Order: sequence, then C-alpha cells, then structure tokens
Amino acid sequence: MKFDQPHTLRQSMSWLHTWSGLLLGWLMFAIFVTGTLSFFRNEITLWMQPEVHLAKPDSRGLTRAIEYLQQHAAQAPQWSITLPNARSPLLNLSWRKAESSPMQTRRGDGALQTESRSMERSGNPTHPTHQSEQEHGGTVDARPDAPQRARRGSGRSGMDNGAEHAPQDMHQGNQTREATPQAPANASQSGGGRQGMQNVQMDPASGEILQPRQTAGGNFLYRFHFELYGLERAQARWVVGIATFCMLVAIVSGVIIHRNIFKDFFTFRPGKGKRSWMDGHNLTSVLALPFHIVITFSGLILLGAQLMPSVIQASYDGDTRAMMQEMRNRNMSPQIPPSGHHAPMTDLAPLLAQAAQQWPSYGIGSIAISNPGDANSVIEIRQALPERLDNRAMAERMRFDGVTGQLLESPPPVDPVSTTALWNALTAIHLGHFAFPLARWLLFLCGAMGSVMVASGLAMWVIARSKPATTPARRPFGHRLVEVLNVAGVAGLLVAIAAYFWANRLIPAGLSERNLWEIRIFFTVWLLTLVHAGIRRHKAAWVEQLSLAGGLSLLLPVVNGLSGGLHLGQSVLVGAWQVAGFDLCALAVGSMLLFGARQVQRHQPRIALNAKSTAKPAPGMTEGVTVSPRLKTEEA
Amino acid sequence: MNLIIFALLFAGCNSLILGMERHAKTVWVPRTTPPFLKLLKPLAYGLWLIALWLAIRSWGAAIGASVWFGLLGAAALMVALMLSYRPRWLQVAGVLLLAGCACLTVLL
Repeated sequence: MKFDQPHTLRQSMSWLHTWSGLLLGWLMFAIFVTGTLSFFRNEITLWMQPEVHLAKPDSRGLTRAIEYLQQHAAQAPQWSITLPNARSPLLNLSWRKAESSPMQTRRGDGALQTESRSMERSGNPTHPTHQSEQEHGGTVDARPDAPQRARRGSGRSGMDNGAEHAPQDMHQGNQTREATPQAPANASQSGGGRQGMQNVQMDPASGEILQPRQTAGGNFLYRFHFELYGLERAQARWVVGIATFCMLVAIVSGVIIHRNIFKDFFTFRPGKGKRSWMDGHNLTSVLALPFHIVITFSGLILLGAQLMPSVIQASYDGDTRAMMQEMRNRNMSPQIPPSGHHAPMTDLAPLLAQAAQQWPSYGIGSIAISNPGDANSVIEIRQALPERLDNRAMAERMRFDGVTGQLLESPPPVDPVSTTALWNALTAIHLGHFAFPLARWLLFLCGAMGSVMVASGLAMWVIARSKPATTPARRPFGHRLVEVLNVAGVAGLLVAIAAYFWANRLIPAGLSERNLWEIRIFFTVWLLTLVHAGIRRHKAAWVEQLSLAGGLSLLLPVVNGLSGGLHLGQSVLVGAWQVAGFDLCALAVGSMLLFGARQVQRHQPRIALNAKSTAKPAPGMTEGVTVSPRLKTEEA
Repeated sequence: MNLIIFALLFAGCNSLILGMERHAKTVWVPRTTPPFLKLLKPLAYGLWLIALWLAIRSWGAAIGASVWFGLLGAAALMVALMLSYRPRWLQVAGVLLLAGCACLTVLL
C-alpha cells in the first residue's frame, strides 16, 4: 500500500479506487454473481424442481382450481389463485386455514435455522412479511399485493419475492416486537412464518396437485446476495451494506480516474496483457455504467433501514411498520365479515371476461376470493403486472360481489407522492419488478457485465503487481494471498454454484433437509476451491478451477435430462422456456468458462520471452505473468 | 419493436466507431476511409435518439429509458467485441441489421 502524497485528484482517486475495490472485492463479486442470478430466481427454482417441469398453462385450469379449493378449503376465509404467467406455468393456490395452526415445524433455532426456515416453506411462496402486514393492516385485504407477489414469485417453494426485500428490511427494526407465537424468541430474524397459510401448486393442464421436491432453489442465491449465510441477519446486512458502499466508492472514483471515457468507449484490445485487462475492465464498467450506479445505489437504499435506523427513529418513533404503511401508500379494500349464511358462488367466467376487457394489455394476474361460499363473499380480480416504475408495479383491482357477480366499488389506485415514487422506482429496478422478459434479460446481462468488471478488477490488482517471470524473488505474502483469494473468490464461486445445481439433482429427492444439504454442498465445494487455490500454483489453479466450473456447467443440461427434468430437446419443443433458458444459459456460461480456461492455459508470459531475447526492460514496468487477457469474457 | 430499437442502437454504435478515426482504420483496412466520415457521428446520435423515442413510446418514460440504456449497453458490447475479433464485419453489420429489421417489419 503506497501512501505517497498524491499530487492530483486523479492520483488520489486512483488509490481509493484500488483499495476500496480490493478490500471487499471478493464479497462484491459473490454479491454480484448471486444477485445477477436472482433476477431469474423463480426460473432457477423451477429448474430445481423437475417434478413441475411438465406443467402447462391451460384455460380450464381456473375451474379446476376453484373445484379443488371448494373440496379442500371450503371453510377458509380467503382463497388466492395466481394464474400462470411468463415466468411460471403453474397455478398457485393458497388459502388461510379457518383455525390458525402452526403449519411448519421448526427445528431448534440458531442462525442456520433462519435460512433453513426460509427454505423450508416448500410450496409456500408467501413470506413472513405478509403475516405481519396482515396483523397490522388488520384485514386480509390489507395486503392486496400478496397474491401479486405470489404471482411474480410464481408460487414455488420458498420463493421470496423481491417485493418483500424492502419490507423485510423494515421488519428488521422491530423484530422483537413482532416475534410471532410460533417463532422461537431468538429466531425473530425471519419474523416467523406465515401461519395458517396453505399453499399448493397445480398443473393447470391436468388439474393435478404437484409435489415438488424440497429445494433451497434460487431463493438461496437471492438470500445470499444480501444476507449471506449463517450470520445474524442484522450483521450480515451490515457486511453487505459496507461492501455495497465500497462498491459505490469504487464506481465513482473509477469514473473520475478513467481518462478517456468516451474515446475508449468501444476499445477492447485482446492479447495485450495488462492493457487488455484494463480495456475489459473499462468496457464492462462503462457500457453498463448506468446499471452499476443504479443497482449499487438502490442496493444501499434497500439496506437503508439497517444502515440508518436513526431516520426511522426520528420520524416514526422507531415504528418501522408505520413507515412501511405510509410508503406503501395504498387504499385498502374494505373487509366484509362473513354473514354466516351459505350462498353459491357466482360463475367466474363473465367476471374474468369483464376484467380482461378492462385491462387489455396486461391481463389478469391473480384472483382472491374472500368468504367463499358465504352470502358476503367478495371476488377480487387483480391485474397482471403493469409496467410502471414509480408505483411499485402496483396492480389495479376489480371487486365483485361473490354471489351476484355485481361489480363493487374498488378503491382507486393512489398516485404516490414523489418520495415514495422515487423509492419505488429505485427498488423496483433493483428487484426487477416491472421486468418483462426483455428487461429481465438486459438486467441479467448488465449484472453479468458487473461481475466481469469486479473479477477483472481483482485480477488487475495482481497483474499490476506481478513481477517479471524471470525475477527469482519471492512474492510478498499479501500478493500470494490476493492470488489465492482471487482464484477461490472468482473461479471457486462459479464451481460452487455449478456444484450447487448438481447437488440439487444428485441428492435423493426424498431426503429430509435436502435443501440444507444443497447449501452445505455449495459451501463445502467453495471451501475446497480455496484449499485447492492455496495448494496449486497460481496459473494451474485458475486453469483447473475454470475448467471444472465450465465442465460442470456444460453438463448441467445433461444432468437435467437424466435426473427427471425436461431435457433441452423436449423443453424447446413444448415451449417450456423457463427450463430451456436455464439449460441454454448453462451451456453458454460453461463454454465461455472453458474458453477462458484454455486461454489462461495457453498464455505465455510475454516478459520472459522479451527478457531472454533482448534483455530490454519492458515498457510500462510490467506486462508480466498475466493470466489470459480474455479471461474476462467468461466470468459472466 | 424490440428488435428495431436494438438495430437502431447497434447501427448507431457502428456508425459511431466508423466516425472515430482510430477504430475506422481497423474496419477499413486500406485507409480508404469514406468521405462522409464527418457525418457519421451525428448520424449515430440521431439513431440513438430515434431508438430512445421509440423505447419511450412503447414503454413509457421510466421503463423506456431503462430499457434503452440496457439495450445500448448490449449493442455497444456486441460492437466492441466485433471490433476486436471481426472488425471487417462492421463495414456492413449495422446497415444489414437495420435493413433486415426493416424487411421483417414490412413483411410481418
């Protein structure tokens, strides 16, 4: 670390950029990669449950769902049905049990349990927050977007939806107060499950209730990217918050020290050692710069309640719930108590037609029926996600009398005040709320570029300091440490993620706690890559781990086909794009990783040759033992 | 529509690099840089703006702008990679893509 007096702004910023980037760089990389995958968390979970791969949307699905609910949940005070959508072919049915009984068993407590519990809610897409919202709003309708969330979550196991991210932050603040009866006192971290909620997934085409395997799913990656694992939630969020802050500092200082931001806009010169790394780092940073800034800043905002609790303390007397309520800023539908008189439910079809007419562009997202079978039943039809940023993708609602089918007055959608709108816009972008497929893929691409940016930055730290290969002197311990951490933090993480997906298929489907086993394998493999990186030479470690990650990824579609999933030929044929997309991505990433590994392998340190032939000192100090310049293209 | 916006952005990036002397030399090897070089930059920005207008028209200002940034990044990345590995393609890539999209729109 050089503490020379910097003479210019650029020099001092350069120092700042280097060290703020390096210090938590590996963590940033892990956050970026898992966060990027989280854009497709529902699809990942779908892939990880081969039992549901064959489900197909069907127009008669809704009738089947109603029949099922009438048979199995006639006494429930409310039903919610989420229709299939672009991200999931499943019908998701949920209802509140008449008598609230603890549905999930809790095993012990402790930090590990927190995670397991959130994974454990197999088949329960909803989230602790809903429960607490319910308590506070006092009515079922106080959480009118719950099914909307469920819809986006497309209702597979343990899927928390982005929407909860924020409320959960808020939740954090008054966890002790919120500890629900069933939750052990010290497990208040997750605020308790959503008691009394039953949830099943139905294949709309056959009306069959699916029993998918228990899996940690995409949800684990999602949780990991802002809460890590095995840490106290508050602490983990602080760690992630600090890393995010470093990231923001690195981005801003990086913009300042970049000399020719416009001139070098398209410049990438491969095969030129350090120069190429620099180009790649600049390219991935600059081209997705708006994304990087927004995603980092909104990430900080989402952690705001954790990082700046005094704001809530000052303005709301520490009542996070009140703040959330105000930020939610919506009119609640009035709740009507059941009359106790039985009355047959009206036919849904005309109501749906009416709603479909009302929202020609977006269509219907979900349906909630309160007091089903009662004279006072109300049917609420909710719009599929509207593409708006400032209103947190808030869906419109239409309410009907459940017996007569008459249109009731619905609370009008509220236009948010500017503060709320800003908050909504930032968080909606971060969580990919509005995202229709194209936007989701663009977010994914930008996230991948961000991952490459961090990885190339880390690699550059080593490259810039590497001595010419001919120098016999030993490297300082710090350099070796960074080298090892680079290999394990970048290539090792990719190996671990690939292994995580393998574990999903190799662990027997019926094993209890198999979601935990998936996670254990993820961390075990990651740890092993660290050991491996420590034992092997730097270059060999890169080559081996990149090849391993590439090979594992390339074989994922094969494993998918062999272990009960829909193989690529089938999934493309029947148009199951959620599954096919995963497999195709795995193929693409796998081949890029293998390509990267080959480039590293082939790369000859140029300096050594120079030194032998001309004994001339290389220009610009070092072009030393670089790993391949093209390594950067594959870390996405 | 998505494709057209992307094609416009891609063509914009393409003409932008042709308007930059350093890159133009890689694309047109024998230095027969076309005479309309000076017009290429304004053309590029024009194409980008049209794309922005289209994006905002189809998705609204907030999402349109976000998607536009994302697509611009994707297009620029493609152009940059092409510039490094297949520079000669960039003589025609943008024009071809744009023409192809126009044909598709007319046909469909």
